[in-house]
Amino acid sequence: MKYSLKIGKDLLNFNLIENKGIFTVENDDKSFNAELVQIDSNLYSMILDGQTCTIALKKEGKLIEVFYKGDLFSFEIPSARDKSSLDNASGVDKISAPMPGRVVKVLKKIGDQVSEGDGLIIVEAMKMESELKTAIDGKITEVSVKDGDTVDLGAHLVTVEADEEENS
Amino acid sequence: MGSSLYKEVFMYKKILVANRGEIAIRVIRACKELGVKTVAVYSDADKGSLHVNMADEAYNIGGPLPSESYLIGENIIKVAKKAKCDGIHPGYGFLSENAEFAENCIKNKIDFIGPSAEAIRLMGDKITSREIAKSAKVPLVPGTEGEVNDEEAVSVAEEIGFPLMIKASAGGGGKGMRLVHQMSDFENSLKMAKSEAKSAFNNDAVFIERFIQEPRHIEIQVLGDKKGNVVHLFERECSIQRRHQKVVEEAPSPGVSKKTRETMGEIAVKLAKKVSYVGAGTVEFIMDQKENFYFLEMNTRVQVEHPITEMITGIDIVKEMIKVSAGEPLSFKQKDVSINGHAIECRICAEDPENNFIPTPGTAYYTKSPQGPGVRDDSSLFNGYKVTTFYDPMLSKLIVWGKDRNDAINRMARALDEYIVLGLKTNLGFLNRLMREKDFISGKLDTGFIDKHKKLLKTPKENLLISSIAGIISLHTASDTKNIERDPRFTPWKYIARRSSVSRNSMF
Repeated sequence: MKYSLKIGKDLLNFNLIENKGIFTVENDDKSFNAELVQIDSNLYSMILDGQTCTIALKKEGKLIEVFYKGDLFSFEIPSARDKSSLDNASGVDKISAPMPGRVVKVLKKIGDQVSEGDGLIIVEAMKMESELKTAIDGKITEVSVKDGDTVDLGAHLVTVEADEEENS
Repeated sequence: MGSSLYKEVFMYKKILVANRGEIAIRVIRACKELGVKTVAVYSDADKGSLHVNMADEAYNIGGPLPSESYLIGENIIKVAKKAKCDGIHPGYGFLSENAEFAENCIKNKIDFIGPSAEAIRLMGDKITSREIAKSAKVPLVPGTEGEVNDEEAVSVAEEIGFPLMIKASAGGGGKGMRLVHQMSDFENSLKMAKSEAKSAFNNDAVFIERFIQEPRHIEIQVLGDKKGNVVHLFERECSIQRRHQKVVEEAPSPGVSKKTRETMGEIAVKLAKKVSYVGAGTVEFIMDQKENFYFLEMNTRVQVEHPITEMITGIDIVKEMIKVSAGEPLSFKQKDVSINGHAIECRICAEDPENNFIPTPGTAYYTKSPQGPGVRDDSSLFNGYKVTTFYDPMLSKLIVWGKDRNDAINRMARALDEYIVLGLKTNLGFLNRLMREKDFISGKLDTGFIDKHKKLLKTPKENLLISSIAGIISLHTASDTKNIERDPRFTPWKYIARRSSVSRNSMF
């Protein structure tokens, strides 16, 4: 059976074959044998090619959150539309507020050319300042806030659109 | 006859803990062990917190913002009077270094468990604390006290030594600042710094200070009683920092020799005695890689990282604070304390190391704390614990003890492997990788360590792959598991048994 998981802007594709509780998992050109055993409400022991891994996992709607070795990954179960648009590489980067806070400084204005990793805006929450960066090369097409604004979680801040040439 | 063996000592009947989170829990635990009743205070956001549940009594003191609750000393004192408390422990942060609050406690006939208001005031002010340090012959970063004029500049620079930093007196933001490595560059750099300062601040006054390369943060724990005794409990190294805040601390420091330890300890005791220090305090130093150290400041409260000192000395710092505040003399002398083994603390925080350590508020849906030999977890976590934007994102302090530094590092790595926090991003993965980093293991630390080891911040591709495999298997079995969960006779044990018997059959 084919499965996909979306993380950030990446799509991970797997082929899964079940045989009496043991799974053969294929990803790219790699293949693994895996078993997943539940030991507590959200705790699992996974045996991957003979190696044991402690996994904590939570499923909620379209989201699967997995904790392994101190790192947390939030996967999304992609819809059919997600899959096709992701295949063409998304050309729009909409930056939104990662938590309620205050805009310290908007670093770019509409029309500015930016490259991947450039800082767009500085926001402050819990007494800490953070610079939010763009994940794509492109042009600023929208700025919804100004210096000093208070923003709620998820509020739209800045939009970057990829250059036409790059998309085609 | 028998009763004369016991000295009648005063002890508090009931202590109000003017704090929240893990430190409130820490103080409540000490009180319980001393047989003292406890009163918790809480904001609207903290009603369901562990510290509230663990105390004997609890009272609401206002809104979720610290300025509406934990920072209003007046209301806290009111609660303490109403609940008939005879002592208030301030923990760290909030009102712990507020001299006025300490004074008001005493005015209301409630002991402030900590140093005198005067000691807090003297050490809390940057300028007076430097003056006191100077009078106690505590080394300060070599530099000019004030503005340096052109005629004396060269001879002053020679005296201070290189590398040095020229800084604008009116300065800020790096303007008018020049790092100078040798005498031949000095005069030119001075000219440039002055002209930059002139154009930036319309004031060309500059001062000169020695530049400390690859500085280490070393601090000495002191304890004082009301009879004038002060002892030190050796040093802690807190060089692993992000955003100028500590994340990993250890005791003793791998960079401090026996001789430096003794000198630093003596100096810290001398400084504490200058202000008749009572309770737990910390004298902070900046140290270069050649063990030259200079006074930074004194923290007049119990420190977040106090447990590592407790682990290597066997002394319960919070209990000692309470006992000396009640008037008991310290139960030990300097010659009675020694270092046993090595301890490390990791601050587990709700923050994203990959994204500039930005706090990650949310709900810790499922958590599991490490166990086993030599592990201590001072935590405020539980399943369903909510991290809000109102308070510090620290979830817990994981502390380990080992017979030596290597043993402690290996134990910390093992304990971090057992720690589970599902529901929000934490720095657990970063700490896990840090404990296996060879530069950390070799002990060559400085406050720029994290910046020099940025690869530790990145989640390894392998972890993503393993997590995604677990994710899709759970996705595949979702409908299957749902059916089992609907069965009232279902227990996880049956499920595990069935799974393992299946796997045995197929394996062999």
